[in-house]
Amino acid sequence: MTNSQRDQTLDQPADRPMLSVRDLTVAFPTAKATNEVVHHLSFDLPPGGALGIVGESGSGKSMTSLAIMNLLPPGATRSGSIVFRDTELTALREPAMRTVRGSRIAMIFQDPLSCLNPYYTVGDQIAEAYRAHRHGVSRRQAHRVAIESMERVHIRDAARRVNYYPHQFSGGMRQRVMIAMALSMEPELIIADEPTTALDVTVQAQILGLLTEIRENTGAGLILITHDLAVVSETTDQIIVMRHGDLVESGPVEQIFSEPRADYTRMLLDAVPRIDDAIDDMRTLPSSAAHETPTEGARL
Amino acid sequence: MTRQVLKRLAGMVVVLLLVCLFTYVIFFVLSPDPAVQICGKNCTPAKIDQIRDNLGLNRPFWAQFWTFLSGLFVGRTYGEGIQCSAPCLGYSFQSSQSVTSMMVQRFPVSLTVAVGAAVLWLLAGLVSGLIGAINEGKFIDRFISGLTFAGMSIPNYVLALVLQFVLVVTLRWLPFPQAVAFGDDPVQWFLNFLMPWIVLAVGYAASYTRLTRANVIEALQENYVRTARSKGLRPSVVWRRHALRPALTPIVTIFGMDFAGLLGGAVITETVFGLNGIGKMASDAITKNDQPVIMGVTLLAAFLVVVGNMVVDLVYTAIDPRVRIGASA
Amino acid sequence: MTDTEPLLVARNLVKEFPVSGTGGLFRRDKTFRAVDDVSLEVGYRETLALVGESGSGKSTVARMLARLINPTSGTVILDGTDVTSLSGAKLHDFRSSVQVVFQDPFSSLNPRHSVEELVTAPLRYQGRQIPGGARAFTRELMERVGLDPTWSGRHPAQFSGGQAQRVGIARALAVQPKLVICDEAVSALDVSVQAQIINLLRSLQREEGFSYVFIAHDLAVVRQIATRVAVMTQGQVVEIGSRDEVFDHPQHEYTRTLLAAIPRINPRWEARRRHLERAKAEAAS
Repeated sequence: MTNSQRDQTLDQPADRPMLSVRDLTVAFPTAKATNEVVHHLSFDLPPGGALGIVGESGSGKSMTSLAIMNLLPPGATRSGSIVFRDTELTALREPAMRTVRGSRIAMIFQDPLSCLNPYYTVGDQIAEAYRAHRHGVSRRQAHRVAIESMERVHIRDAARRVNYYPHQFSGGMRQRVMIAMALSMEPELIIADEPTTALDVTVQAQILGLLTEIRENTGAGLILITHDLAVVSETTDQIIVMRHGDLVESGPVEQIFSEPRADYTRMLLDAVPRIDDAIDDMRTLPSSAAHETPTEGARL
Repeated sequence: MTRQVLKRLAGMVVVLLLVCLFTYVIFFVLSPDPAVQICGKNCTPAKIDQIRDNLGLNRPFWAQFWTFLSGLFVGRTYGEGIQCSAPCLGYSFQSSQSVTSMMVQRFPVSLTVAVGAAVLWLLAGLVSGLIGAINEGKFIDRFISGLTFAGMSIPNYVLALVLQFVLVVTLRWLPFPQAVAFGDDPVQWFLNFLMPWIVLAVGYAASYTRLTRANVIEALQENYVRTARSKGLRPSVVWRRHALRPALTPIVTIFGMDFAGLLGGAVITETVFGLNGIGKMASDAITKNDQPVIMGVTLLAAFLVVVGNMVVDLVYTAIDPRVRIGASA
Repeated sequence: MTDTEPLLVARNLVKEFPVSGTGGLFRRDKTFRAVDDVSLEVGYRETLALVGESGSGKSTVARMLARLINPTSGTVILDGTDVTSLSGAKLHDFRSSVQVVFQDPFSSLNPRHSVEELVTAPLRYQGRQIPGGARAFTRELMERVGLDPTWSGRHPAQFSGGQAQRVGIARALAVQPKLVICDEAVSALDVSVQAQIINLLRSLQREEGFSYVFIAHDLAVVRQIATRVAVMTQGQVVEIGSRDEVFDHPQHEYTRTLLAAIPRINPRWEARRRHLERAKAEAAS
């Protein structure tokens, strides 16, 4: 993608969604049956918008993000349409998709330690992404970009720490490195899959604040995937609720939280433990586990 | 880093001393009286006693051990005027040679066998392991798995005999082994060693294939490989930097130990192919009950394993940043 | 003994771990002080929550209370008995007085055992008679934790995360403990299942009258279950008090930081939702 093309895509009318997903279905076909983990999912993300995808384990929320990136595990199939700006991503061949990945759509994952390669310095891993997309960039330039990106996510002493290995950072710092890596390419869309689930609550607050700050500064769109309703309520402006691969309900964040239409959303909201008050006669949930199926109930 | 190395070196010296002590104890306690052997058939108790005296075998254990130890560093003299210069591992009265000089003569053969085999098994193991990992579950993968199973189950000596029969006698692809130096006839020299290399390499190649395949498949499932792909890196870069490097690093450890073990002599292979290496020397010494030689070979093997272990540790420290640099929280 | 005395008293608990690789050949490794002089009490029928971030030492304290590890110094007194140096039969008795429910039920339950074997194992291990026979005993326990008793022959892999955690709880209850230590017992569960397990833990306490030490990093969960809260950071308890005191009037700076960091659903949205739901319920009736 050249710069002039990119400028054109930025010029499109503001009401056209930046990402438009239609009838997305992700399945794992086996010899006996086809196990669908996402069924006919459709949603739009306005330019610069922040969309939260909420669901419990097995809801298909992570598969949705991997489907957008075409990074589904081996054996998975996807169908439907994913239009990003003016590009139909499902029609792209792998080399063309690679120019989108990391460069125009960046992804941040849950466990920053296992997501960084222990054998290379963090600077190396940030620079590697940069050099993959900007041809003819020298090592020195890429190194400087790595330091700048680390500074943008408020890692102090970045010029020195750029040469650290992942294990030398704390969990929160590692997640900042992941975000710096995503930022280095100035992506138009950031997909964050449970970015704070493995982090302490004070660090979580910093990372969520950082994501919001980046969105405000760069105008990038954000898709935040999480099981935590309180997290999306503070960070995003649109929400879709998923369960067993189906879209349960979608809408502006205030509407979902104050006037939920689906019973499942109401149940989820009821189940969220409140920090501000203790409900001693808590919730009208069934106390027996009989209705749970063996796939439900754990994010382990 | 320097401190770590010094610490390791000090530890190694202690281990080697202990190895010497244990080996010495075993041979001191368990072995038949060397004086009786030296004495020969027409022996009298008086003669035995004289030999014992000559060899210093009547002295207390610690004194003898001390002589042995110092012999390693400054050499020693046996009886009346048999010189054994440092490092003296002992003296073989049966072949009228010091154990050290016997080893020096034979070590090049063992080294050649070990290096050649190592090159073969590394190449075969890594390549077929990679092919298996790339084609996981497909026919070629299962075929390779079957081969590794066979390779690991066939005993060395069986394989050696079968190869000799098939390649030399039946098919005549390889000439009959002749004793030549490398400089005289490099081709014949190479062909001489080809079979021992193959025989030794097969078992190792099989286990390295399995190890490589398992490590690569595991590495490909790592989250950082997914991260690398999500950055839009080319598959070749993802493979080289994010799958192979982590998958192959642990193999360094195993390779170091295997190779060090082999330098101490491949007893069966050398014996079957009549190669005059350390392994053959050991097996000959065992048949003749030439104790100083057996003990010398044991010490050499132990020394190689300890040194190999240390080298592997240092190399591993250098290539794995998690070991090299502790966490700084 | 009177009920006014606490069930469990921990005094000046310290736990140091050696930092490997810091020592020399003849020098001992340096130590890292994971728990630094912690004292606390747990009353009868009380739930003391230990909260803190990773590395705060809360799990180490829990493991010392259960004698899964020995403290470097300090004492633990249960029901008037110093349990710090117990061994043999007395340690066995202590083991049935204090039970632990762990975070990941699948790694703490032997996958090859059925529910019946899992639940009765502590009793068989201690050579005790199983009241009413293993089958009936298991079924009764399963009913109490909300599991279908006909599943007593099932193995852990056949259960969901929430169900497996119920098996873990049933196993803890089998020996009629005085104290149950929940080490992040609901942290790995989906939110809807988490709420059910919290409900279960609370109703079990009402019925059985035991006490909990509840280790959690999620303060919202703690608010739903604790009677008292101890806040830990860097190996020390910086604040301890009744639940509402700590949540509504935190004294220590760290507690305030922790509470401020928790993401919240906008209370106005919450109020509106409740209002609308009440209106709907009234219209229906």
